Amino acid sequence: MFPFNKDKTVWSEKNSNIAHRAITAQVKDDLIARDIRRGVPADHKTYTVTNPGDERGTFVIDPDLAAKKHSGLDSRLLRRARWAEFCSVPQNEVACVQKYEAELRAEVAATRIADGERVILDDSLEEDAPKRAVKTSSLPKPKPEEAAEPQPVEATELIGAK
Amino acid sequence: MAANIFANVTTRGVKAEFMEAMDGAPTVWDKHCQIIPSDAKDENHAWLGTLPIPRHKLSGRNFQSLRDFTLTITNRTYEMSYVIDRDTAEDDQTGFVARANQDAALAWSTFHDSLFSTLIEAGTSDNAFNGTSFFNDSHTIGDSAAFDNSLAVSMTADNPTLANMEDGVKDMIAAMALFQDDQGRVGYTSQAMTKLRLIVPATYLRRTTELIKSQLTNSGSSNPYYLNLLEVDMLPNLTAAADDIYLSAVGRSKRMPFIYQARTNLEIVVYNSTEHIADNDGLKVLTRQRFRFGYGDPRFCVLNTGD
Repeated sequence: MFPFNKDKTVWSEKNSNIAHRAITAQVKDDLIARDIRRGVPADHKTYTVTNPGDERGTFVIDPDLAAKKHSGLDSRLLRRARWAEFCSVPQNEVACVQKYEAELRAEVAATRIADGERVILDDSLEEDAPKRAVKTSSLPKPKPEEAAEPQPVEATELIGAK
Repeated sequence: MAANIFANVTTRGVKAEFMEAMDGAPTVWDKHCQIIPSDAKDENHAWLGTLPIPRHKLSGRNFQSLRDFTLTITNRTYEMSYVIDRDTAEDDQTGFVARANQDAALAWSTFHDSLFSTLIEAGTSDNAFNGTSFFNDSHTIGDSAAFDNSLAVSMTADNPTLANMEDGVKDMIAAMALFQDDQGRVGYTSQAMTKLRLIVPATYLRRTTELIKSQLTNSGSSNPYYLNLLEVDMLPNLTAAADDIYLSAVGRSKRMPFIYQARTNLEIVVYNSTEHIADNDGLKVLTRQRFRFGYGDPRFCVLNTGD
């Protein structure tokens, strides 16, 4: 199943994959947030330590917490529903892919921040779509004319970035 | 008194026919399962964690406990009983009895693969030893970073091209290589990944065979998967509509992605006395086996699903 544009042309496979990844990531975030609301620890660990006096530290599963954590099937069903919804109405391929690409860049930058790398926050980027947008010292700032007139995006260097 | 046409059909003979047919039957499950003998109704599997991280020795030794997860798998009993009709056997001139037993043996073999398929497909719902569904996008084991063995990437096409398949497999391998042990170290899957096998439904057999047998990719560059990096197992019982493929790392025989818990070997009883044949109006054969499939280590199997 592929998304389509307003002129009824079908999205390229590469751009479809970018959108699909973005939707998959959003589904994962939403389900993890739901787990936490239900009481699953934020680090997603669903087991508890028993026998604290036992030097071997036996672990057993807490069945209540395990039941609250989302399953692979939950992810699949929600992802398929959202993908079908996304593909059911015309989508602007260029704008969508630029948005997802920016989110992926922000994700990569956030990962680098988490790794302790020095990055420079760019307030002008944060006003637009990606709420976690940051600019690292290695990423060039987009030129104003490029932002005014979007160009088709291939984003090959981001395919493996996850 | 009429001659007993089944007089030569003994339990030992039928068992030999069974074993010969079962040995020749192609099976998938045994390539992905760690076979664990069982001697009780159920088995309590202890998933011993990995060893602690070595440290610079300063003054004394620092003893640390291993993480020990437990999982209980209860054996199940399966049986297959049948009667070879006396009239049919009397009129048979082409070795019907032997063929029937070989067919039954083949049915046992394929039944194992059928159960294995069910196990795999239920992996998105049923839990592994860490209390998370076996295929899940946010597993954690001990101090490992969250890992995702339920991918949905590069497979948006219902009928994937060779490039789709190549991308999908590449992502699965890359994901698995980064899975961490319960101490948070990468490299846990390295040894297991020395042997990689794909499990695919029948609809993907052509593409995956193309993936591992073509010396060049569509773009004309060398195909890395041609170099015996992967082998493909087709499971006809998988639901084709699911568009799922699975990557198993099976290079570590003591820790496999799935478990086959063997309680009893295949038992075969043949009722071939004149009285039994008269009573049953044929040759009654009873077969029975106790075993159970279960989930092993989720870090050694990755699902890639196409939407």
